[in-house]
Amino acid sequence: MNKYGALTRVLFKNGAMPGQTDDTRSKIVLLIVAVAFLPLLGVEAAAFWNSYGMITAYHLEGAMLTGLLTGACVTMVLLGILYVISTYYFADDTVLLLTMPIPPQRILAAKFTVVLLFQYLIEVLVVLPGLVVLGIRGGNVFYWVNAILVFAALPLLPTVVCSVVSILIMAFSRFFHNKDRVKFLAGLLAIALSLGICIPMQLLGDRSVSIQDSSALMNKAAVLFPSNLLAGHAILDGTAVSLLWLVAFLLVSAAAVAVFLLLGNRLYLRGVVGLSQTSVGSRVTNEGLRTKRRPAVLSLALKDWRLLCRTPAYALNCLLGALLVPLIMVVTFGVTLHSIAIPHADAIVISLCVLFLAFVSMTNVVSPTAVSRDGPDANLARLFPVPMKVQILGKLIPGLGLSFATLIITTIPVCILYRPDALTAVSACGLSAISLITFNMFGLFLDLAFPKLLWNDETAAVKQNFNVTIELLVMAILLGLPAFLLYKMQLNLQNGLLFLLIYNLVLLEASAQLLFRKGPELLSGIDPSAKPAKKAADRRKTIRVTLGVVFTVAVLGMVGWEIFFVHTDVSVTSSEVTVSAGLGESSSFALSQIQKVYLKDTLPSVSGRVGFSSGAQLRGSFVVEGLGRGHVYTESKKGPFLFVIYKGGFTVLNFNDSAKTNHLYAVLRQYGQKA
Amino acid sequence: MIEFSDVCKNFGPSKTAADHLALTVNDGEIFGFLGPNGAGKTTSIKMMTGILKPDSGRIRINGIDVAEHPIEAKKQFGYVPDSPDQLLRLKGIEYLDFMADMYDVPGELRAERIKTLSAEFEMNKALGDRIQSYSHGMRQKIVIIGALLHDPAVWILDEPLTGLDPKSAFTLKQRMRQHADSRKTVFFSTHVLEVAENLCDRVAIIDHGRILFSGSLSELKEQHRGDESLEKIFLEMTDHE
Repeated sequence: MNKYGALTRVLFKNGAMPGQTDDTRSKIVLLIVAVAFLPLLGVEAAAFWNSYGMITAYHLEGAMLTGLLTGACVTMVLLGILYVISTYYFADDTVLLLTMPIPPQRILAAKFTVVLLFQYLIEVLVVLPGLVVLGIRGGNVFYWVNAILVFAALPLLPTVVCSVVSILIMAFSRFFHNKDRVKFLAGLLAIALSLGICIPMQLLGDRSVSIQDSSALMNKAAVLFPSNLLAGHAILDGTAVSLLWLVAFLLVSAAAVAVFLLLGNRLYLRGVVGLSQTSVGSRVTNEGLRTKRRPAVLSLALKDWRLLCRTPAYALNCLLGALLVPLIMVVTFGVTLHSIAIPHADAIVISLCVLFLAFVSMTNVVSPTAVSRDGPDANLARLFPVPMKVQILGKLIPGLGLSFATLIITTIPVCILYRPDALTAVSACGLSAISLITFNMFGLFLDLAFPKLLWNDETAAVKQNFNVTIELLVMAILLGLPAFLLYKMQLNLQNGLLFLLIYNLVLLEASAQLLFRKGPELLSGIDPSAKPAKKAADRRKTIRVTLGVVFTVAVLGMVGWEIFFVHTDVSVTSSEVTVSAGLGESSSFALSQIQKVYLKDTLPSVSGRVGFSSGAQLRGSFVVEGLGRGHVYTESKKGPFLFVIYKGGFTVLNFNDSAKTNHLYAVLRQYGQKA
Repeated sequence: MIEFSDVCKNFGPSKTAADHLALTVNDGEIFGFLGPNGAGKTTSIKMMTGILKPDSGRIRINGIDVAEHPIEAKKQFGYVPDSPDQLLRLKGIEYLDFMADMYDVPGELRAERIKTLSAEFEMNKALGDRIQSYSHGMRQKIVIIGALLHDPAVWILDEPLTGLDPKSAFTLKQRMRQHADSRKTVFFSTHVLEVAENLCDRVAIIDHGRILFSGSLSELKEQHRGDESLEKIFLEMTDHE
């Protein structure tokens, strides 16, 4: 038992998941991840809470609970297969453990426990909110005791399923005795199974399912894990009899674990001995030696491309994503929104198309992980007698190529489904192409500035890399902004297209400058072996500078927005007039207090500003010559200016559109004497 | 030729990797760089090759300053790192083609050199396999071949014999001798003092970032009791520091 405990602790600490190591950063990451999931749990709980009445009215508690438990088990199997195979057979510690005098059963038990802890994360997300809501709304002591024990024992059976499948495969098939092949196929399997569930569910659409059908569906789902019926009864029975159900469920789970350990004791070594990392290739003959020199930039791009294709983690997350994401998006939108017609020749629509196409095409995450994927090999850049700009260009090419391929793969079905007019299609594609170049460059720049070079598993370089998230976020903002600006500026098609072109070209130039001016310096300074403390200090400094820049830009943007795009808004009700002018400036006065309303072509001189003043724009409290201090809201230097004198003060108003000023005068003059 | 002029490098206040290093390696010699673990050997080599930047001082290779003209300087040398685990998912031949492209090796010449070097190091049958499947020694050999493909004037080798089988080690030592005899430079670090004794024309002993000795082995022995082995002299020098 001591060996089992010690082994489990060591295997857990040696893991690659956040929180498994001792360092503070890992624990902080785990805390952030946990906090990030709280809203999701809250939403789930709220959904269950709100539908509790309906659930109890139709006596669906059992079906719901069984469905939740089975859903969690299925998810654990789907997501756990890859993790189980990697942990049991291809973890770095496996070779060391095999040389020690530890029975295979004990090794397996320890590894099983580590996998189990991972499965609990899934269970929390899927089962916990519903379980808690049911308990609060209708549970008693038996409910809570049994719920806790079921929650603790639920992951055992699905983990046993994953474990038994992997042990049998590895023991009897040499095909899987290749780490790269297993990782790639298991990843493919997980994606295929996920799609196999998502696409049919998508195709179900909003078909209504009768209450009777849903009960049958839940019961059918329980067939995959029949023991969940026992668990459901144990939790919901509410009497002492529930303990019998509970014991039955726990016995089934325990029996499954026992079977697994017995099987593992006989077959685990058979599968784990003689594993290879890679397969043997073909002989290279003298005739096969290349005699043509390849330009350095192409050689570098080819090197990166080969590593992308041959590393399972990169192939699954980057290459496969580039092909699958368009497929998923097209199926999703095609099925649910196929009846929507794209307006013809509309600049805003074109802008939104660019956003969609560029976003889908950039999900390959090749460029924002280009340097991180090098890991310890990042040093090589400084060895080669090749200019840094050329090396950067070499890193850019694979991501660019893949993005353009995705653009084509996405555009064709979209054009078939929605039949946009030629101008929309050509403009959207052309502008998207410019955006792809822009954001591939920006993504690469991000990875040069914040590379993630210290990892034990290649997956960390692509999946635990925040550069990807930052890039997609910035892209969403910068590509969403033109649509919003076009909406506000109300430009015609020609001017709108011109605006979009100039906007995208400016972004392209900015990212090119950023990448090719700062990039070489960053690439020369990359050092995977730099001390963590120095790297952390550098990172903190960079984060501070970046946050400062982002904050400044955001503030300037907001202020600029208020100044240039927020106009004076006057609301007249039956009793009062309210003026809102942005930048926090507003005022109101009662209609009954109005004494005089008149128009003048010019504005007397103003002084004593308490508010905002820029050119023709005045917003706030000013001293007006001849009138004293009052509220002034003007947009133009040209008249007319509307003066409203009321008890205790006055307000001067003027709009860019003089017709608007005149109209307001017409509305308000009835409340005061004419000038 | 390699020249270190007053080179300093610190990693934090208490860790000096290079303390005013001044060293010259002439053409036509095999120069051994010796020192205990953590003495600063690899750091010095990394500064020579441009992987690390010195805090102060200059390093020139064949008269070209590594900091001021890095591209030209890097064309002068071939570097074999202490760890051969790089670009593991490329096949051997792909790695060599890649290295040849980086160093602008002309087409026909590269095929010829790959054929010759892979035969010499008995790697010709393994070129079609991924480096990931190689043993440590095979990885070392493929890296050595890759470093020599462009026939550099200066060889910078960081513990190159580690993991090599006796025949390959002998081949490499022979090549090192031939290279130096043709008025070119070989700079290598090693822990195996017997190799240094048999192969090197001159040696430098470094400890805590400082050169304790630089000169020929006979000079070293003269400075100490003449009948002592290099191993004993080395241990005495590095123990007393």
